Amino acid sequence: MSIRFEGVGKTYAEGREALGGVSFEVEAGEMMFVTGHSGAGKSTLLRLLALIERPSEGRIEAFGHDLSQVKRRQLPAYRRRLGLVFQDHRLLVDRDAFANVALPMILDGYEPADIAPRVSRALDQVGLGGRERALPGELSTGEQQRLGIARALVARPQLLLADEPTGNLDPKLATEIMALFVSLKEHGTTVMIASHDLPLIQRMRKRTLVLDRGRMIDDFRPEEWYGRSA
Amino acid sequence: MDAAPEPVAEEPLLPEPAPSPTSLRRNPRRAWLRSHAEGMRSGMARLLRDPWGQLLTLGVVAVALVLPALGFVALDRIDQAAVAWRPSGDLTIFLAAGEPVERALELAATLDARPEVAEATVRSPDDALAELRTLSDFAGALSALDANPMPALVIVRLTPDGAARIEEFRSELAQRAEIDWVQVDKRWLERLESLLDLARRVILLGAAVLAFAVLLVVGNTIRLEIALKRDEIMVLKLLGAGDGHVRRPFLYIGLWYGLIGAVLALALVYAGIAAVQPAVDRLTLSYGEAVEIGGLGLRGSLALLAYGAILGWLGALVASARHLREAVPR
Repeated sequence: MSIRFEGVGKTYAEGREALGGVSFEVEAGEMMFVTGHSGAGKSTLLRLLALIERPSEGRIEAFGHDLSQVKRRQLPAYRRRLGLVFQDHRLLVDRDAFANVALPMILDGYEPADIAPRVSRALDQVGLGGRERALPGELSTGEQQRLGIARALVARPQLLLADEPTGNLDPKLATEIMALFVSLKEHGTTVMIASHDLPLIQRMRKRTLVLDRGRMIDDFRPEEWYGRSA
Repeated sequence: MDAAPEPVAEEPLLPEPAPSPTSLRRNPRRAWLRSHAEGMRSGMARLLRDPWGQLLTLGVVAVALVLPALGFVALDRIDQAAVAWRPSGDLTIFLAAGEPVERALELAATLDARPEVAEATVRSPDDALAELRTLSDFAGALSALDANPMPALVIVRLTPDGAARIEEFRSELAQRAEIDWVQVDKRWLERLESLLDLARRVILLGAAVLAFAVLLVVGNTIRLEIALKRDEIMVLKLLGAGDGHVRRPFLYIGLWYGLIGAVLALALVYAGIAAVQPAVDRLTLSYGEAVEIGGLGLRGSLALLAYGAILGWLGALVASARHLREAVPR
Protein backbone atom coordinates (compact mmCIF):
# COMPACT_ATOMS: atom_id res chain seq x y z
CA MET A 1 0.00 0.00 0.00
CA SER A 2 1.33 3.39 -1.00
CA ILE A 3 -1.00 6.03 0.47
CA ARG A 4 -3.61 6.01 3.21
CA PHE A 5 -5.95 8.84 4.24
CA GLU A 6 -7.76 8.30 7.56
CA GLY A 7 -10.48 10.82 8.38
CA VAL A 8 -8.45 13.65 6.90
CA GLY A 9 -9.81 17.18 7.15
CA LYS A 10 -8.45 20.58 6.34
CA THR A 11 -9.96 23.77 7.69
CA TYR A 12 -8.32 27.09 6.88
CA ALA A 13 -7.73 29.85 9.40
CA GLU A 14 -10.77 31.81 8.26
CA GLY A 15 -12.93 28.78 9.12
CA ARG A 16 -13.48 27.49 5.58
CA GLU A 17 -13.49 23.70 5.49
CA ALA A 18 -11.72 22.48 2.34
CA LEU A 19 -11.78 18.76 3.21
CA GLY A 20 -13.50 16.74 5.88
CA GLY A 21 -13.48 13.09 6.92
CA VAL A 22 -11.72 11.81 3.80
CA SER A 23 -10.52 8.21 4.03
CA PHE A 24 -9.12 6.01 1.27
CA GLU A 25 -6.12 3.88 0.36
CA VAL A 26 -4.03 3.74 -2.78
CA GLU A 27 -1.86 0.81 -3.78
CA ALA A 28 1.71 1.37 -4.92
CA GLY A 29 1.79 1.68 -8.71
CA GLU A 30 -1.91 2.54 -8.91
CA MET A 31 -3.23 5.33 -11.10
CA MET A 32 -6.27 7.23 -9.96
CA PHE A 33 -8.26 10.35 -10.59
CA VAL A 34 -9.71 12.77 -8.06
CA THR A 35 -12.62 14.68 -9.47
CA GLY A 36 -15.31 17.10 -8.39
CA HIS A 37 -16.50 20.63 -9.04
CA SER A 38 -14.34 23.67 -8.42
CA GLY A 39 -13.81 24.05 -4.67
CA ALA A 40 -14.54 20.36 -4.04
CA GLY A 41 -11.13 19.89 -2.42
CA LYS A 42 -9.20 18.14 -5.23
CA SER A 43 -6.21 20.48 -5.11
CA THR A 44 -6.22 20.54 -1.31
CA LEU A 45 -5.97 16.75 -1.27
CA LEU A 46 -2.91 16.83 -3.51
CA ARG A 47 -1.37 19.69 -1.54
CA LEU A 48 -1.71 17.68 1.65
CA LEU A 49 0.15 14.81 0.00
CA ALA A 50 2.88 17.15 -1.23
CA LEU A 51 3.12 18.56 2.32
CA ILE A 52 2.38 22.04 1.03
CA GLU A 53 -0.39 22.01 3.62
CA ARG A 54 -0.80 20.03 6.83
CA PRO A 55 -4.16 18.44 7.71
CA SER A 56 -6.27 19.92 10.50
CA GLU A 57 -7.47 16.46 11.46
CA GLY A 58 -6.92 12.83 10.56
CA ARG A 59 -3.80 11.01 9.45
CA ILE A 60 -2.04 10.69 6.11
CA GLU A 61 0.41 7.89 5.49
CA ALA A 62 2.66 7.75 2.46
CA PHE A 63 5.00 4.84 1.81
CA GLY A 64 4.67 3.67 5.41
CA HIS A 65 5.40 7.09 6.96
CA ASP A 66 2.98 9.24 8.91
CA LEU A 67 3.26 12.57 7.07
CA SER A 68 2.42 14.53 10.20
CA GLN A 69 5.76 13.36 11.60
CA VAL A 70 7.80 14.62 8.67
CA LYS A 71 10.21 17.24 9.97
CA ARG A 72 11.20 20.38 8.14
CA ARG A 73 14.64 19.04 7.32
CA GLN A 74 13.10 15.87 5.86
CA LEU A 75 10.85 17.78 3.45
CA PRO A 76 13.37 18.23 0.59
CA ALA A 77 14.17 14.49 0.49
CA TYR A 78 10.45 13.67 0.55
CA ARG A 79 9.59 16.12 -2.21
CA ARG A 80 12.40 14.84 -4.42
CA ARG A 81 10.57 11.51 -4.54
CA LEU A 82 7.45 13.28 -5.86
CA GLY A 83 6.57 14.52 -9.31
CA LEU A 84 4.36 17.60 -9.12
CA VAL A 85 2.29 19.08 -11.92
CA PHE A 86 0.68 22.38 -11.00
CA GLN A 87 -2.33 24.12 -12.53
CA ASP A 88 -0.27 27.30 -12.81
CA HIS A 89 2.79 25.37 -14.10
CA ARG A 90 5.25 27.01 -11.64
CA LEU A 91 8.10 27.24 -14.12
CA LEU A 92 11.29 29.23 -13.60
CA VAL A 93 10.74 32.09 -16.02
CA ASP A 94 14.40 33.02 -16.48
CA ARG A 95 15.56 29.48 -17.27
CA ASP A 96 14.99 27.74 -20.57
CA ALA A 97 12.91 24.62 -21.12
CA PHE A 98 15.90 22.30 -20.74
CA ALA A 99 16.97 23.86 -17.43
CA ASN A 100 13.43 23.73 -16.07
CA VAL A 101 13.05 20.05 -16.84
CA ALA A 102 16.54 19.21 -15.61
CA LEU A 103 15.88 20.82 -12.21
CA PRO A 104 14.53 17.76 -10.32
CA MET A 105 17.47 15.66 -11.48
CA ILE A 106 19.99 18.37 -10.60
CA LEU A 107 18.45 18.67 -7.13
CA ASP A 108 18.65 14.91 -6.75
CA GLY A 109 22.38 14.91 -7.52
CA TYR A 110 22.41 13.17 -10.89
CA GLU A 111 25.45 13.49 -13.12
CA PRO A 112 25.07 16.03 -15.97
CA ALA A 113 25.95 13.35 -18.52
CA ASP A 114 22.95 11.34 -17.34
CA ILE A 115 20.64 14.31 -17.05
CA ALA A 116 20.92 15.56 -20.64
CA PRO A 117 19.53 12.48 -22.45
CA ARG A 118 16.74 12.06 -19.88
CA VAL A 119 15.69 15.69 -20.24
CA SER A 120 15.73 15.52 -24.04
CA ARG A 121 13.64 12.36 -23.92
CA ALA A 122 11.12 13.89 -21.50
CA LEU A 123 10.79 16.95 -23.75
CA ASP A 124 10.29 14.68 -26.77
CA GLN A 125 7.64 12.71 -24.89
CA VAL A 126 5.55 15.83 -24.25
CA GLY A 127 6.02 17.11 -27.80
CA LEU A 128 8.56 19.81 -26.98
CA GLY A 129 11.55 18.26 -28.74
CA GLY A 130 13.63 21.01 -30.33
CA ARG A 131 12.34 23.68 -27.92
CA GLU A 132 15.07 23.10 -25.34
CA ARG A 133 16.35 26.68 -25.45
CA ALA A 134 12.93 28.36 -25.33
CA LEU A 135 12.12 30.38 -22.22
CA PRO A 136 8.73 29.67 -20.64
CA GLY A 137 7.53 33.11 -21.74
CA GLU A 138 8.13 32.11 -25.35
CA LEU A 139 5.86 29.07 -25.04
CA SER A 140 2.07 28.90 -25.33
CA THR A 141 0.03 28.03 -22.24
CA GLY A 142 -0.38 24.46 -23.48
CA GLU A 143 3.35 24.16 -24.10
CA GLN A 144 4.07 25.52 -20.63
CA GLN A 145 1.74 22.90 -19.21
CA ARG A 146 3.58 20.18 -21.11
CA LEU A 147 6.90 21.58 -19.87
CA GLY A 148 5.62 21.25 -16.30
CA ILE A 149 4.60 17.67 -17.03
CA ALA A 150 8.02 16.84 -18.50
CA ARG A 151 9.63 18.23 -15.33
CA ALA A 152 7.39 16.03 -13.18
CA LEU A 153 8.17 12.90 -15.20
CA VAL A 154 11.88 13.27 -15.79
CA ALA A 155 13.23 11.83 -12.52
CA ARG A 156 10.72 8.97 -12.57
CA PRO A 157 9.11 9.84 -9.22
CA GLN A 158 7.58 7.39 -6.77
CA LEU A 159 4.42 9.45 -6.53
CA LEU A 160 3.13 11.72 -9.28
CA LEU A 161 0.61 14.36 -8.17
CA ALA A 162 -0.91 16.20 -11.10
CA ASP A 163 -3.37 19.05 -10.61
CA GLU A 164 -5.46 19.56 -13.77
CA PRO A 165 -2.58 18.46 -16.02
CA THR A 166 -4.59 18.58 -19.21
CA GLY A 167 -6.56 21.76 -18.56
CA ASN A 168 -4.92 23.66 -21.42
CA LEU A 169 -4.40 20.77 -23.84
CA ASP A 170 -6.51 19.63 -26.79
CA PRO A 171 -8.09 16.16 -26.45
CA LYS A 172 -5.46 14.44 -28.61
CA LEU A 173 -2.54 15.87 -26.58
CA ALA A 174 -4.40 15.18 -23.35
CA THR A 175 -4.71 11.52 -24.32
CA GLU A 176 -1.00 11.38 -25.17
CA ILE A 177 -0.12 12.86 -21.79
CA MET A 178 -2.37 10.32 -20.10
CA ALA A 179 -0.55 7.56 -22.00
CA LEU A 180 2.69 8.90 -20.54
CA PHE A 181 1.23 8.76 -17.05
CA VAL A 182 0.09 5.17 -17.69
CA SER A 183 3.59 4.25 -18.81
CA LEU A 184 4.99 5.85 -15.64
CA LYS A 185 2.51 3.84 -13.54
CA GLU A 186 3.67 0.70 -15.30
CA HIS A 187 7.19 1.46 -14.11
CA GLY A 188 5.89 1.48 -10.51
CA THR A 189 4.98 5.14 -9.95
CA THR A 190 1.77 5.84 -8.04
CA VAL A 191 -0.19 8.43 -10.04
CA MET A 192 -2.89 10.73 -8.62
CA ILE A 193 -4.54 13.18 -10.99
CA ALA A 194 -6.93 15.91 -9.92
CA SER A 195 -9.17 16.74 -12.86
CA HIS A 196 -12.66 17.90 -13.65
CA ASP A 197 -12.33 16.72 -17.26
CA LEU A 198 -15.03 14.01 -17.05
CA PRO A 199 -14.77 12.87 -20.68
CA LEU A 200 -11.06 12.25 -20.19
CA ILE A 201 -11.67 10.38 -16.92
CA GLN A 202 -14.31 8.26 -18.59
CA ARG A 203 -11.97 7.45 -21.48
CA MET A 204 -9.20 6.42 -19.09
CA ARG A 205 -11.43 4.14 -16.98
CA LYS A 206 -9.26 4.29 -13.88
CA ARG A 207 -10.16 4.38 -10.22
CA THR A 208 -11.79 7.72 -9.41
CA LEU A 209 -12.47 9.51 -6.13
CA VAL A 210 -15.33 11.97 -6.32
CA LEU A 211 -15.30 14.92 -3.94
CA ASP A 212 -18.09 17.37 -3.26
CA ARG A 213 -17.58 20.36 -0.98
CA GLY A 214 -14.71 18.64 0.78
CA ARG A 215 -16.45 15.29 1.31
CA MET A 216 -15.63 12.10 -0.53
CA ILE A 217 -18.92 10.98 -2.07
CA ASP A 218 -17.74 8.16 -4.32
CA ASP A 219 -14.74 5.92 -4.96
CA PHE A 220 -15.22 3.70 -7.94
CA ARG A 221 -12.78 1.32 -9.49
CA PRO A 222 -11.89 0.44 -13.10
CA GLU A 223 -14.12 -2.61 -13.18
CA GLU A 224 -17.09 -0.50 -12.13
CA TRP A 225 -16.62 1.77 -15.15
CA TYR A 226 -18.04 -0.91 -17.38
CA GLY A 227 -21.28 -0.80 -15.43
CA ARG A 228 -21.58 2.98 -15.71
CA SER A 229 -22.64 5.07 -18.63
CA ALA A 230 -19.81 6.88 -20.35
CA MET B 1 29.69 28.57 1.06
CA ASP B 2 27.88 26.57 3.68
CA ALA B 3 30.15 24.16 5.42
CA ALA B 4 28.60 20.79 4.78
CA PRO B 5 27.22 19.15 1.69
CA GLU B 6 23.44 19.02 1.60
CA PRO B 7 23.04 15.29 2.16
CA VAL B 8 24.46 15.68 5.67
CA ALA B 9 21.79 18.18 6.63
CA GLU B 10 18.88 16.14 5.36
CA GLU B 11 17.32 12.94 6.50
CA PRO B 12 15.96 10.47 3.97
CA LEU B 13 12.29 9.79 4.44
CA LEU B 14 11.27 7.53 1.63
CA PRO B 15 13.16 4.55 0.32
CA GLU B 16 15.25 5.24 -2.75
CA PRO B 17 13.34 4.79 -6.00
CA ALA B 18 13.73 1.57 -7.90
CA PRO B 19 16.87 1.54 -10.06
CA SER B 20 16.05 2.89 -13.47
CA PRO B 21 16.75 0.82 -16.54
CA THR B 22 19.34 3.34 -17.69
CA SER B 23 21.38 2.98 -14.44
CA LEU B 24 21.60 6.67 -13.71
CA ARG B 25 24.45 7.77 -11.46
CA ARG B 26 24.02 10.04 -8.47
CA ASN B 27 26.92 11.74 -6.73
CA PRO B 28 25.75 14.06 -3.96
CA ARG B 29 29.23 15.45 -3.26
CA ARG B 30 29.87 16.41 -6.87
CA ALA B 31 26.35 17.77 -7.11
CA TRP B 32 27.12 19.91 -4.04
CA LEU B 33 30.29 21.24 -5.68
CA ARG B 34 28.40 21.93 -8.92
CA SER B 35 25.78 23.77 -6.90
CA HIS B 36 28.53 25.99 -5.44
CA ALA B 37 29.97 26.69 -8.88
CA GLU B 38 26.50 27.55 -10.14
CA GLY B 39 25.83 29.75 -7.08
CA MET B 40 29.10 31.60 -7.67
CA ARG B 41 28.32 32.09 -11.36
CA SER B 42 24.72 33.14 -10.85
CA GLY B 43 25.68 35.52 -8.02
CA MET B 44 28.19 37.29 -10.25
CA ALA B 45 25.72 37.28 -13.16
CA ARG B 46 23.18 38.99 -10.90
CA LEU B 47 25.66 41.78 -10.11
CA LEU B 48 26.72 42.18 -13.71
CA ARG B 49 23.12 42.34 -14.93
CA ASP B 50 22.73 45.74 -13.27
CA PRO B 51 26.20 47.00 -12.25
CA TRP B 52 25.10 50.63 -11.79
CA GLY B 53 22.25 49.55 -9.57
CA GLN B 54 24.77 47.90 -7.25
CA LEU B 55 26.96 50.99 -6.88
CA LEU B 56 25.33 52.24 -3.69
CA THR B 57 25.81 48.93 -1.88
CA LEU B 58 29.34 48.51 -3.23
CA GLY B 59 30.18 52.12 -2.32
CA VAL B 60 29.00 51.65 1.27
CA VAL B 61 31.02 48.44 1.59
CA ALA B 62 34.12 50.13 0.11
CA VAL B 63 33.89 53.18 2.41
CA ALA B 64 33.28 50.97 5.44
CA LEU B 65 36.46 49.07 4.62
CA VAL B 66 38.67 51.94 3.47
CA LEU B 67 38.39 54.07 6.62
CA PRO B 68 39.77 51.49 9.07
CA ALA B 69 42.31 50.34 6.45
CA LEU B 70 43.71 53.87 6.12
CA GLY B 71 43.73 54.22 9.89
CA PHE B 72 45.76 51.06 10.26
CA VAL B 73 48.20 52.14 7.51
CA ALA B 74 48.77 55.46 9.33
CA LEU B 75 49.26 53.74 12.71
CA ASP B 76 51.64 51.24 11.17
CA ARG B 77 53.77 54.05 9.69
CA ILE B 78 53.89 55.98 12.99
CA ASP B 79 54.74 52.80 14.85
CA GLN B 80 57.60 52.04 12.45
CA ALA B 81 58.89 55.59 12.66
CA ALA B 82 58.80 55.41 16.47
CA VAL B 83 60.90 52.24 16.34
CA ALA B 84 63.44 54.01 14.13
CA TRP B 85 63.64 56.92 16.58
CA ARG B 86 63.88 54.63 19.61
CA PRO B 87 66.75 55.85 21.87
CA SER B 88 69.70 53.54 22.43
CA GLY B 89 69.56 53.80 26.22
CA ASP B 90 67.12 54.10 29.08
CA LEU B 91 68.68 57.14 30.79
CA THR B 92 70.84 60.00 29.52
CA ILE B 93 72.92 61.73 32.19
CA PHE B 94 73.95 65.32 31.37
CA LEU B 95 77.02 66.30 33.35
CA ALA B 96 77.23 69.84 34.72
CA ALA B 97 78.78 72.47 32.45
CA GLY B 98 82.55 72.49 32.69
CA GLU B 99 82.84 68.94 33.99
CA PRO B 100 85.64 67.25 32.02
CA VAL B 101 85.06 64.13 30.00
CA GLU B 102 87.21 62.22 32.51
CA ARG B 103 84.45 62.73 35.14
CA ALA B 104 82.03 61.20 32.69
CA LEU B 105 84.36 58.21 32.20
CA GLU B 106 84.66 57.75 35.97
CA LEU B 107 80.90 57.94 36.40
CA ALA B 108 80.38 55.43 33.59
CA ALA B 109 82.85 53.02 35.21
CA THR B 110 81.04 53.37 38.57
CA LEU B 111 77.66 52.82 37.04
CA ASP B 112 78.86 49.87 34.94
CA ALA B 113 79.74 48.07 38.16
CA ARG B 114 76.20 48.34 39.53
CA PRO B 115 73.90 45.34 39.09
CA GLU B 116 70.96 47.35 37.69
CA VAL B 117 73.10 48.72 34.84
CA ALA B 118 73.62 46.64 31.72
CA GLU B 119 75.86 49.16 29.97
CA ALA B 120 77.03 52.72 30.46
CA THR B 121 78.72 54.58 27.59
CA VAL B 122 80.21 58.05 27.37
CA ARG B 123 79.62 60.62 24.69
CA SER B 124 82.15 63.42 24.84
CA PRO B 125 81.19 67.08 24.24
CA ASP B 126 83.06 66.93 20.89
CA ASP B 127 81.05 63.90 19.74
CA ALA B 128 77.80 65.58 20.83
CA LEU B 129 78.67 68.75 18.94
CA ALA B 130 79.57 66.80 15.81
CA GLU B 131 76.24 64.95 15.97
CA LEU B 132 74.33 68.21 16.41
CA ARG B 133 76.06 69.61 13.34
CA THR B 134 75.02 66.57 11.29
CA LEU B 135 71.38 66.47 12.43
CA SER B 136 70.50 70.13 12.31
CA ASP B 137 70.68 73.16 10.09
CA PHE B 138 72.76 75.09 12.63
CA ALA B 139 76.19 74.02 11.36
CA GLY B 140 77.10 77.62 10.43
CA ALA B 141 75.97 79.05 13.74
CA LEU B 142 77.74 76.33 15.72
CA SER B 143 81.08 77.02 13.99
CA ALA B 144 80.82 80.63 15.11
CA LEU B 145 80.95 79.59 18.79
CA ASP B 146 84.16 80.18 20.72
CA ALA B 147 83.75 77.15 22.97
CA ASN B 148 81.86 73.85 22.85
CA PRO B 149 78.61 74.37 24.86
CA MET B 150 77.72 70.66 24.87
CA PRO B 151 78.06 68.77 28.16
CA ALA B 152 79.56 65.31 28.44
CA LEU B 153 76.89 62.59 28.44
CA VAL B 154 76.64 59.16 29.98
CA ILE B 155 74.08 56.95 28.27
CA VAL B 156 72.85 54.16 30.51
CA ARG B 157 71.09 50.99 29.44
CA LEU B 158 69.43 49.26 32.39
CA THR B 159 68.88 45.61 33.11
CA PRO B 160 65.20 44.56 33.35
CA ASP B 161 65.44 44.84 37.16
CA GLY B 162 66.99 48.29 36.84
CA ALA B 163 64.33 49.40 34.35
CA ALA B 164 61.65 48.40 36.85
CA ARG B 165 63.21 50.84 39.39
CA ILE B 166 64.12 53.55 36.87
CA GLU B 167 62.53 56.44 38.81
CA GLU B 168 64.34 55.53 42.02
CA PHE B 169 67.63 55.27 40.10
CA ARG B 170 67.05 58.60 38.34
CA SER B 171 66.38 60.41 41.67
CA GLU B 172 69.56 58.98 43.19
CA LEU B 173 71.70 60.11 40.26
CA ALA B 174 70.12 63.57 40.12
CA GLN B 175 71.42 64.29 43.64
CA ARG B 176 75.07 63.95 42.58
CA ALA B 177 76.89 67.26 42.29
CA GLU B 178 78.60 66.57 38.96
CA ILE B 179 75.26 65.76 37.30
CA ASP B 180 73.13 68.56 35.89
CA TRP B 181 70.13 66.57 34.66
CA VAL B 182 69.00 62.97 34.19
CA GLN B 183 66.59 62.28 31.31
CA VAL B 184 64.40 59.18 31.15
CA ASP B 185 64.72 58.58 27.40
CA LYS B 186 61.85 56.20 26.87
CA ARG B 187 59.13 58.19 28.56
CA TRP B 188 58.07 60.07 25.42
CA LEU B 189 58.10 56.79 23.56
CA GLU B 190 55.88 55.19 26.16
CA ARG B 191 53.50 58.10 25.84
CA LEU B 192 53.49 57.75 22.07
CA GLU B 193 52.84 54.03 22.38
CA SER B 194 49.94 54.72 24.74
CA LEU B 195 48.52 57.17 22.23
CA LEU B 196 48.98 54.66 19.42
CA ASP B 197 47.26 52.00 21.51
CA LEU B 198 44.35 54.36 22.13
CA ALA B 199 44.16 55.17 18.40
CA ARG B 200 44.27 51.46 17.58
CA ARG B 201 41.33 50.78 19.90
CA VAL B 202 39.34 53.69 18.46
CA ILE B 203 39.99 52.41 14.92
CA LEU B 204 38.98 48.88 15.93
CA LEU B 205 35.78 50.21 17.46
CA GLY B 206 35.09 52.24 14.31
CA ALA B 207 35.86 49.19 12.17
CA ALA B 208 33.37 47.15 14.21
CA VAL B 209 30.65 49.79 13.78
CA LEU B 210 31.36 50.01 10.05
CA ALA B 211 31.39 46.19 9.78
CA PHE B 212 27.93 46.18 11.34
CA ALA B 213 26.86 48.75 8.74
CA VAL B 214 28.15 46.43 5.98
CA LEU B 215 26.14 43.55 7.46
CA LEU B 216 23.01 45.71 7.44
CA VAL B 217 23.51 47.04 3.92
CA VAL B 218 24.35 43.66 2.38
CA GLY B 219 21.59 42.02 4.43
CA ASN B 220 19.04 44.52 3.18
CA THR B 221 20.17 44.03 -0.43
CA ILE B 222 19.83 40.26 -0.03
CA ARG B 223 16.38 40.70 1.54
CA LEU B 224 15.29 42.57 -1.60
CA GLU B 225 16.86 39.88 -3.81
CA ILE B 226 14.93 37.21 -1.93
CA ALA B 227 11.69 39.18 -2.33
CA LEU B 228 12.33 39.42 -6.08
CA LYS B 229 13.06 35.70 -6.34
CA ARG B 230 10.22 34.58 -4.08
CA ASP B 231 8.38 32.64 -6.79
CA GLU B 232 11.56 30.87 -7.89
CA ILE B 233 12.37 29.97 -4.29
CA MET B 234 8.89 28.47 -3.84
CA VAL B 235 9.31 26.35 -6.96
CA LEU B 236 12.75 25.15 -5.88
CA LYS B 237 11.42 24.17 -2.45
CA LEU B 238 8.47 22.36 -4.01
CA LEU B 239 10.82 20.38 -6.21
CA GLY B 240 12.89 19.30 -3.22
CA ALA B 241 15.68 21.85 -2.99
CA GLY B 242 17.25 21.88 0.46
CA ASP B 243 17.83 25.06 2.43
CA GLY B 244 21.50 25.05 1.45
CA HIS B 245 20.74 24.87 -2.25
CA VAL B 246 18.20 27.69 -2.07
CA ARG B 247 20.45 29.87 0.09
CA ARG B 248 23.67 29.38 -1.88
CA PRO B 249 23.17 31.93 -4.72
CA PHE B 250 22.29 34.60 -2.16
CA LEU B 251 25.39 33.83 -0.10
CA TYR B 252 27.53 34.22 -3.20
CA ILE B 253 25.82 37.51 -4.06
CA GLY B 254 26.81 38.69 -0.56
CA LEU B 255 30.33 37.36 -0.99
CA TRP B 256 30.74 39.16 -4.33
CA TYR B 257 29.44 42.40 -2.80
CA GLY B 258 32.02 42.11 -0.02
CA LEU B 259 34.87 41.12 -2.33
CA ILE B 260 34.22 43.76 -4.99
CA GLY B 261 33.69 46.35 -2.25
CA ALA B 262 37.08 45.33 -0.80
CA VAL B 263 38.75 45.68 -4.22
CA LEU B 264 37.31 49.21 -4.47
CA ALA B 265 38.49 49.91 -0.91
CA LEU B 266 41.98 48.71 -1.81
CA ALA B 267 42.05 51.03 -4.81
CA LEU B 268 40.89 53.91 -2.59
CA VAL B 269 43.60 53.15 -0.01
CA TYR B 270 46.33 53.36 -2.64
CA ALA B 271 44.75 56.44 -4.25
CA GLY B 272 44.61 58.06 -0.79
CA ILE B 273 48.25 57.22 -0.08
CA ALA B 274 49.32 58.59 -3.48
CA ALA B 275 47.44 61.81 -2.70
CA VAL B 276 48.98 62.22 0.78
CA GLN B 277 52.55 61.10 0.02
CA PRO B 278 53.81 64.47 -1.41
CA ALA B 279 52.68 66.30 1.74
CA VAL B 280 54.33 63.65 3.93
CA ASP B 281 57.52 63.98 1.88
CA ARG B 282 57.58 67.77 2.41
CA LEU B 283 57.04 67.34 6.15
CA THR B 284 59.51 64.53 6.76
CA LEU B 285 62.24 65.94 4.52
CA SER B 286 62.22 69.09 6.67
CA TYR B 287 63.35 66.76 9.50
CA GLY B 288 66.08 65.36 7.30
CA GLU B 289 64.57 61.97 6.43
CA ALA B 290 61.89 60.99 3.89
CA VAL B 291 59.17 58.61 5.09
CA GLU B 292 57.55 56.28 2.57
CA ILE B 293 53.93 55.61 3.59
CA GLY B 294 53.87 52.45 1.53
CA GLY B 295 50.56 50.56 1.54
CA LEU B 296 48.93 47.50 2.99
CA GLY B 297 51.44 45.11 1.43
CA LEU B 298 50.47 41.74 -0.04
CA ARG B 299 49.35 40.21 3.25
CA GLY B 300 47.42 43.29 4.28
CA SER B 301 45.74 43.52 0.87
CA LEU B 302 44.74 39.86 0.95
CA ALA B 303 43.46 40.29 4.50
CA LEU B 304 41.33 43.27 3.41
CA LEU B 305 39.88 41.25 0.50
CA ALA B 306 39.14 38.29 2.79
CA TYR B 307 37.62 40.60 5.42
CA GLY B 308 35.32 42.17 2.83
CA ALA B 309 34.29 38.80 1.40
CA ILE B 310 33.56 37.38 4.87
CA LEU B 311 31.52 40.44 5.87
CA GLY B 312 29.46 40.25 2.67
CA TRP B 313 28.93 36.53 3.11
CA LEU B 314 27.90 36.98 6.76
CA GLY B 315 25.43 39.74 5.87
CA ALA B 316 23.88 37.46 3.26
CA LEU B 317 23.83 34.52 5.68
CA VAL B 318 21.97 36.45 8.35
CA ALA B 319 19.43 37.87 5.88
CA SER B 320 18.87 34.61 4.01
CA ALA B 321 18.52 32.57 7.21
CA ARG B 322 15.69 34.83 8.26
CA HIS B 323 13.89 35.57 5.01
CA LEU B 324 14.20 32.18 3.28
CA ARG B 325 12.56 30.52 6.28
CA GLU B 326 9.56 32.76 5.67
CA ALA B 327 9.34 31.71 2.01
CA VAL B 328 7.08 28.69 2.47
CA PRO B 329 5.53 27.17 -0.68
CA ARG B 330 1.82 27.93 -1.11
